[in-house]
Amino acid sequence: MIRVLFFGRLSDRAGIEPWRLPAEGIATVADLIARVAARDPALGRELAAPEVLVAVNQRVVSRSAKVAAGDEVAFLPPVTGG
Amino acid sequence: MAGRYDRQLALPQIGPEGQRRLAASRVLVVGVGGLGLPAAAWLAGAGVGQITLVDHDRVELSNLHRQVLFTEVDLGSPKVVACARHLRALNPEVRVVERPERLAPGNVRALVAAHDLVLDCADNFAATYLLSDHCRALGRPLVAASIAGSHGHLGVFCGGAPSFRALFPLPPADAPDCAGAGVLGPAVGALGLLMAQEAIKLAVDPAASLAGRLLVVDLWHTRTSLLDFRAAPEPEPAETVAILGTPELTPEDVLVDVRSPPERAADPVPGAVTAAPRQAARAVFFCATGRRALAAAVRALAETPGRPVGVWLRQPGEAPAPLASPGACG
Repeated sequence: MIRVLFFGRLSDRAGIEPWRLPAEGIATVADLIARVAARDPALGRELAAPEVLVAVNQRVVSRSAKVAAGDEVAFLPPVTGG
Repeated sequence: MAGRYDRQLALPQIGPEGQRRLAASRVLVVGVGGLGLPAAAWLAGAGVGQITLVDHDRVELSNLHRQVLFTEVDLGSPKVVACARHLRALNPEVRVVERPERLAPGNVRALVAAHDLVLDCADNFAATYLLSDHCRALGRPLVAASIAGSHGHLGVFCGGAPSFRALFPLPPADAPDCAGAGVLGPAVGALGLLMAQEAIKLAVDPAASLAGRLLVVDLWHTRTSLLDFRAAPEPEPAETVAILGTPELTPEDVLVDVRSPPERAADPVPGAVTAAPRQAARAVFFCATGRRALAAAVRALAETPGRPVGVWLRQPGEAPAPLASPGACG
């Protein structure tokens, strides 16, 4: 399984509990986004936005980065304000 | 009588040497609001040598729920003046410099160069990119934090770590901010205090800082995560939006005015257009604060990846060269 965390406004839609998705057929972050989009197209569109940061196992990576069973993948859009 | 700094001198991480380093450090605080006000106050308490406050706003009633070191007596005063008064009353050993002006391409380089580290407490992405670009060029560490609603992040950039642009090459085209999303005082204050904590670490023991890491928080559900971006590559300029001052505009640029018709009528810019052209020339967007311009530039880049785009951080009344007369506005 792959553990998926959503931060910022993404958690308004996806919830604050991590998603657990089967790793079969998922090799990269882009594959994972496609899998999320299949379950929730609007959330998939939000993840596809270029400003959304992706981290695999707490390391910031590009969307071509590899993802495997047991990994934790986090998504975060930046905010401004203070 | 016990000394002012006894309780932090007792810390093995500080001690007399750490206290000397704090007293020798000059910290630039950009934005004196929910983040900058507590950050500056706690740095003054700790005995930082110099704190320079940059903000062009005045204290308003709607600030007081979170900017709790201001009082009703301060309403209408420039924020830097009210904050400086508080800091000097708290600790007269700290040199406090008031800069009641907007951070802009024309003042950012000299401000960053004159300080050892920079706190980005501003409330817009244009200011963050401007600070990040200059901190990177000058090798100064940048502590940057933001919060909208209960969602915030804090990181330490530049000065050996990747820049803010390496982590976030582009802002969202419709970023919420604390004016739009709302914010609770303790949540923004907590991030402000963590900024002061990072600044102290950068002054006394940089290896202990969050350099190259981003703390992500949801302070309503009390969720946190620490993300490592030490390996993030710097983006290509074509993947980003340049933040420009008037001297950086060229005659070939197409200036795109994204203000409302009444704003345009009140302060016209000769030669500007109101929609991005399809041609290959650099499209430079502008508005009153840079916020709408940056969003428009991001949308233009999304439509035509790789096209050169920029944001002109224009001061009211400013015109592009050759009408501009540098230095004339004092």
